[in-house]
Amino acid sequence: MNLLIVVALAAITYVSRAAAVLFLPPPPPRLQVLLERIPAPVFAGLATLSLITPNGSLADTPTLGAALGGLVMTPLRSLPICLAGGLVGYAVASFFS
Amino acid sequence: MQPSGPKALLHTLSAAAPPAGAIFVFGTIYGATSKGLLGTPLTLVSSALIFSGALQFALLGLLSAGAAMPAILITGATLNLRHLVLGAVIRPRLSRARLRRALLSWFLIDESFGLGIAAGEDAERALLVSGSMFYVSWLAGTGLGILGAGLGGLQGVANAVFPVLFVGLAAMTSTRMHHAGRALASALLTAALVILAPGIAGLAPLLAAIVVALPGRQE
Repeated sequence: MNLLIVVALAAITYVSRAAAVLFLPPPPPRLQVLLERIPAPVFAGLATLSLITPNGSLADTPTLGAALGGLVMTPLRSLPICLAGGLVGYAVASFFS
Repeated sequence: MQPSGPKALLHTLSAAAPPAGAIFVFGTIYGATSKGLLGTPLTLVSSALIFSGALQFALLGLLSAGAAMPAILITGATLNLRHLVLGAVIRPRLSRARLRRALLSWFLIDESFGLGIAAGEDAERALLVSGSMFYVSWLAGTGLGILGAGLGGLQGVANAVFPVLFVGLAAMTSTRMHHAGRALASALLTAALVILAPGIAGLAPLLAAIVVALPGRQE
């Protein structure tokens, strides 16, 4: 039974990943404009989601410090620098918490 | 300007390393937790075939709660809905060859999608390289978790990697001022959705992103 569930979930997951990449036709220009606007808001939403625990409270202080450290570095628009900022934020927040 | 050639590869490897480390840690936690519920072989099979931390942890929760198969499959389909949008966004940046796209779609998870989009014209390689790293990390972590490796102490650091990664990716993909404004609006809307409707928390970032992407002129 569990094997069947795992295989079914694997199939659902792969089909969901492949559906748009493999089967759907290229989007029309108007939809393409909309799709181009989606990545930054999706990532901002995912960042927010990862700062809220499943019971609705905020993440722990070091995690919030890491996010703040990364956020401070966003004007530089460099992922490694944001990650370095996050590391510093995590260390500082851990020290004070 | 995006780097190209070996420099681009190095750039992808260095950007993918921290999330790969975090995925490895979560893999050990999944392996250790799942072993008692699914057994060793099925735990390995689940990580090898599903390759989705969120869905696999949800599976454990549902099985522990005694959920029936239809409920588990509906949860899986709901959690995977976001792939349709992520796939549609990254599709124009990928090769036209069907077999190649079939392979690349295996590696389409939130983190590899982000690195692919941030890589601009080098999206395909970034998706393949980072996705492979994340897949191997997830499998290796699961295996070590089954063997009893205790990396639970690193969970705090691993937790902190993801918000920073997504903040950085939001910054990198905000190529225009209105992108940053929409990102901020999406963050606020996601928070409101998660608080007001926790049942759809997993879909909140996608719903918020679609809502904030709608207004405005065609550029």
